[in-house]
Amino acid sequence: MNYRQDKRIISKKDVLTGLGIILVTYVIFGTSIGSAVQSGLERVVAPLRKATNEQTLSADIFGMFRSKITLTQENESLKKELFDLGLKLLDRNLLYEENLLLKEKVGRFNVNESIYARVIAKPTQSAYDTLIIDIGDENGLRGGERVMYGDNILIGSVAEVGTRTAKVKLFSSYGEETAVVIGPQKISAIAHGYGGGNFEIKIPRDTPVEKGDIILAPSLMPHILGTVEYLESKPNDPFKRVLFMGPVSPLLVNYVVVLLNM
Amino acid sequence: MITRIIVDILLLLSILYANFWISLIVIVAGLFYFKNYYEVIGAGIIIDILYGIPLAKYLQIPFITTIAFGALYFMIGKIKQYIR
Repeated sequence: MNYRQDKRIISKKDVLTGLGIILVTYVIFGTSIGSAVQSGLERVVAPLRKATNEQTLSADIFGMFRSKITLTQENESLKKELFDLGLKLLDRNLLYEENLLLKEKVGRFNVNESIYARVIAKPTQSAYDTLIIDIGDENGLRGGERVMYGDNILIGSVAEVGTRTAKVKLFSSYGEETAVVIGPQKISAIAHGYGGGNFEIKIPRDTPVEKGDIILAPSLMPHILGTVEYLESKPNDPFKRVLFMGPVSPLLVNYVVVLLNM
Repeated sequence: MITRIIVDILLLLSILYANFWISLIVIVAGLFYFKNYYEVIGAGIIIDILYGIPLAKYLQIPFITTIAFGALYFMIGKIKQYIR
């Protein structure tokens, strides 16, 4: 018995399904239904995510298997590191106070109001390089605010604000461009995000940039983006590549600080 | 039917709590195993609503996962026709 094969690559049903998908996508993303669905979803998801993160933080299963000697050694080295860091922090705080005092003298005193937020979803959960944080419209976010790790490490900006959550776009997302200044000579450049907390800068080959130079996001109170980790220049290329990584991986960030009055 | 509901629940949980590649595995498996696995489009929409923002790497399109999953739906549908 012979069966007649349907040779058409795209059938009528495929076309109808495709049109259906386009229509549904338009209705959800092109109308106000999308924000209503988002607000409903975040109401359900945010409390559950918070609970899951709590459990993850408290459960260090591997810690149980570490030997006592290793733990003692680690403890000693951490104490020493903590002491050194304490001294550095003291120095940093003195400089910071002096900095504020000088700004006040020249009439540019402006302390940013900030708010702490917990990260409830990290970049690995989607193809987008985004963090989801547990503050939103209710906490005064409007979009565009700078997002920091700790006091001075800049990691991204608020891209979209929901009622109780917000999406943070990381500056290290592939293709994102951020204005930076490099090193003590404050050389202006554009840093291109490379994904996973990495950046690339292309500057003229003869620009004096050294490994270890600090890279800052320019503003009245500059924030750290990273330090130069790798330099690559070729004799036939008039530009050199500067590669650097943020001081903290976006995957390890559990809490962030959002600067409100930018 | 029960299998499909269980896979759908797994898919939803993976979107909310697991890494993206786990959701992708569930989706590809679902597309191969079930006939007309339309849930994939719903999954794309949920991912885009929860995590999506306009990014340079995706030409500033905020619903790229829905488009990608739609393409995956058709591609795997065609592959299934040829390997049946």
